[in-house]
Amino acid sequence: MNNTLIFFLVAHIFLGTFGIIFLTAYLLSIFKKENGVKWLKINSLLALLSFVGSWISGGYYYASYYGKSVKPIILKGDYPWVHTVLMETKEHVFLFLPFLTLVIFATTYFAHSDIAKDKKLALSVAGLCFTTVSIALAIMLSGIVISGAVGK
Amino acid sequence: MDWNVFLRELHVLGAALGVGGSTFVEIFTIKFAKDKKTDIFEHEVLKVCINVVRIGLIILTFSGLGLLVLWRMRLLGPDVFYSGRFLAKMTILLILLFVALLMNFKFVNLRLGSAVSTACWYAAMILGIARGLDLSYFAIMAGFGIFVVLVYFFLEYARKSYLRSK
Amino acid sequence: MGDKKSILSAIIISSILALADIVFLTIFGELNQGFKSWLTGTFSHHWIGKSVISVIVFMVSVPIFYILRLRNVNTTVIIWLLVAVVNLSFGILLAFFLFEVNH
Repeated sequence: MNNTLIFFLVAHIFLGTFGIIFLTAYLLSIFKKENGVKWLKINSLLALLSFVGSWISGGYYYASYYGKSVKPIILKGDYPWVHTVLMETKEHVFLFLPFLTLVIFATTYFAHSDIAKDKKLALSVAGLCFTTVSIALAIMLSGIVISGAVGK
Repeated sequence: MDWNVFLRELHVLGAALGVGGSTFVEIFTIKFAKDKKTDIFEHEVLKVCINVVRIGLIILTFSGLGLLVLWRMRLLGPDVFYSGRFLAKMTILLILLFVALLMNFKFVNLRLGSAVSTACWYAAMILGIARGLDLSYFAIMAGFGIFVVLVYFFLEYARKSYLRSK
Repeated sequence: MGDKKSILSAIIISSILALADIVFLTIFGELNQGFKSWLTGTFSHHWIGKSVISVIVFMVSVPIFYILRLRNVNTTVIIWLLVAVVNLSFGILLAFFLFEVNH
């Protein structure tokens, strides 16, 4: 792997993790009145930008390197299902994240006064946020397992 | 720049903040429970400790991910990534995150959640130190389960002893 | 405020469509090698093609649903619908790739 690929891989991992952190911060504060709407908007926007950044950087690494250099190693190794199930699921489920985060940001931006007044709406946004964090964590863990299948 | 050394130092720092922070959360929670109410100063102290734990977790996470990238580049493969010790550490980290969320929304008893959380930090620290541990994932998780129970009862005993004193 | 609600409803429903589109493109691409080859030929990689098409579907849907002025759609309900769709989509994709491996 050259330095450019290492940069894009690290960017993909770190930006994805930042996305999880910002969404978790959002989830922890959505029902707390003292935090105000400013931090909800900031966290949701930063989460969206992080996942979009992770999408682009991961996409570069995946499209230019993974297919020809990493996938054959995994398929020939002891754990081929790591690519055929985990990686295949991960690469497509990841595409959900920017749309889900966009909805969280848009709802916060356009309906923040409703979120503060309407408990049911706040609960639905929290539910969406929890689902997004769970999926993102599952994707992160899959990434660790996939990296682990690449041996000498 | 030796990234391996740098990331390991950061990882140790994150663990120190997390273990230390969660220890002081327990100590202060027991101490502040004496008068059965939490005033503003006590609330602020606990908030600071919890924020230290969160900062520790963030440093731990990013340094850990950095180390994983180095392992990946060195092609260490399944022997390291799928070892019982590493998988157990990841599971314990997930349990820690999940319990933190449950506690935030008060879906779990706070004393139980806090005991599990503290046990997770200490277990992760012990697994990090025990480099030569060669047990299966299930054996380590069974040991962790017993450890959680011990920590819970130890904290309950400490709480009752302190409340009975003076 | 009504305008904001229309925009928000349009974004949420368009996201649901984009997710459904991703699932469709993924499964259709795996079952139809010709389609997958077309994606690779047109976008240099099939995954890039799926990303681009899902973004296009989203961006085309938003103004359409905005024009429909979906002010009376309950935001809470469509957010929960989105939650249901994303969970179902995750399950479908995982089950599909598990099934593909075993057959």
